[in-house]
Amino acid sequence: MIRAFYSGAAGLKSQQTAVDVTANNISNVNTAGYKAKQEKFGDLLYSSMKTPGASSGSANLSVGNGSAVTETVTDTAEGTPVNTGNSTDYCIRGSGFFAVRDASGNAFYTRDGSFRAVQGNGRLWIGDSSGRLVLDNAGKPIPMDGSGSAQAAPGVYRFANSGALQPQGDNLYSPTALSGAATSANTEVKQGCLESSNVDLAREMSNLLMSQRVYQLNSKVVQTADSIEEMANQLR
Amino acid sequence: MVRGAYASASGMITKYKQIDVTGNNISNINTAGFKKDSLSAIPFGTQLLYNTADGQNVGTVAEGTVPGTVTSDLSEGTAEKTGLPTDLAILSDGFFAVQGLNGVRYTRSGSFTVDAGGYLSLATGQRLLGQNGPVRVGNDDFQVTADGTVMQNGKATDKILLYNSTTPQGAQKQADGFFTLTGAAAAAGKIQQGYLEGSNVNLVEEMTKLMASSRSYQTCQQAFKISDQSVQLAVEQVGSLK
Repeated sequence: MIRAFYSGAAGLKSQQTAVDVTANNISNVNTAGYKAKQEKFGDLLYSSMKTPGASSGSANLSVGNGSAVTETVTDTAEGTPVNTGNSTDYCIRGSGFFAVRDASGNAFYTRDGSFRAVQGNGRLWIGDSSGRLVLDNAGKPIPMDGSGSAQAAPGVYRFANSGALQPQGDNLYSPTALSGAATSANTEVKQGCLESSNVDLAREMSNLLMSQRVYQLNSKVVQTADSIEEMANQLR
Repeated sequence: MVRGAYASASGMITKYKQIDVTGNNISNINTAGFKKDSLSAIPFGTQLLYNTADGQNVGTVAEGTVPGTVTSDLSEGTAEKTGLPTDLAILSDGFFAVQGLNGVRYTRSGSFTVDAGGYLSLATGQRLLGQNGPVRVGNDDFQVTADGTVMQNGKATDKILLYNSTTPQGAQKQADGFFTLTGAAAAAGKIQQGYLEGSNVNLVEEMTKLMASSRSYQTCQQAFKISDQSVQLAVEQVGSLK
């Protein structure tokens, strides 16, 4: 088959992935602490074609083989803080993450500060909706005082490369080798407000329209390549 | 007969099988836990050509292509939220073990229901196996945690085990849709209740494979027709007595 057929098919696949990423951003527009993901495209390997009489391919006569989504980059811009008035809601004014620990001792990091009172060991602690306990700056769970708020502010942790954190679902991230270990930071934490998602609906909708058009054009390329093959089959 | 005719015919047969495999993938696009198959074509072999005058070989000619092996792509399908507490999705590598008629079978499909005996089983009757044999949940609510522990009324009653093959490429799809694992060993994985893993079939990929296969089929058919016409010329005109 001619190369244009496979380039068109690669373009269709990469636009499909782009729409997947955009759709996930749009569906998370109301998730507290959600960071939008942006897809990055890259071109695929180039093949050099031979000019007649040449012994090997020429660099001046190279044709590409399509495109692919190379990575999805997390947009780490801060979302707008929204006042909720709930004394167990927190938001970080700046960069950094809250730390939560589950029952098996695994630590996760999150920007979502919608915490509540959680029962454990006979007293109330501050934790998230799945029962994981929030840690303070020293790495210890924080007990609740009698009046419905935590005794201390939740700790904020920073990473050398927060873009390389691995999302685990449920608004949680876990550190990887590339992100570096968590270090405690003194960033200001505000009580009674939540950070909304940083999804820009206008950008996502225009990405969606553009992906749709590019998908249409790529399918036209595939159809054209197919009809060229049909004509070649009918030459004789 | 003309060598070219056999080569084109083998090309048509291989493309026909390719279209069969692609058609099966497309028809299973909504089957829970389905893994797409792909067919590899291998060249049939080469034959040495001899110069008729002095018997020296002048080179080789390929004799067409045959369908090779059908391999399953074990990448994860998209997990869809169904909200049914009996639907389980594996969000990692690994297979569920179910009790078949002749032993343990392995599958990725997590669309279970509670059968008459209170056990979690597939629609075709195979019961899901846990640590202590078939997993029984009765009529009560149950929660499944990420590591497979089944909790009922706050107590852990059973644990769903996931299995994986110890060798790479050790999972083979069988004729009934279940997998066999060479060297099945218990594996750690992540199970999500209320979600169902769909198929990993990519419609765009399958449609372009279908278009490419049918165009190649058409080209092979044209080549066969031309070989046939040259034999016809040899028979009718070259060998005619006039």
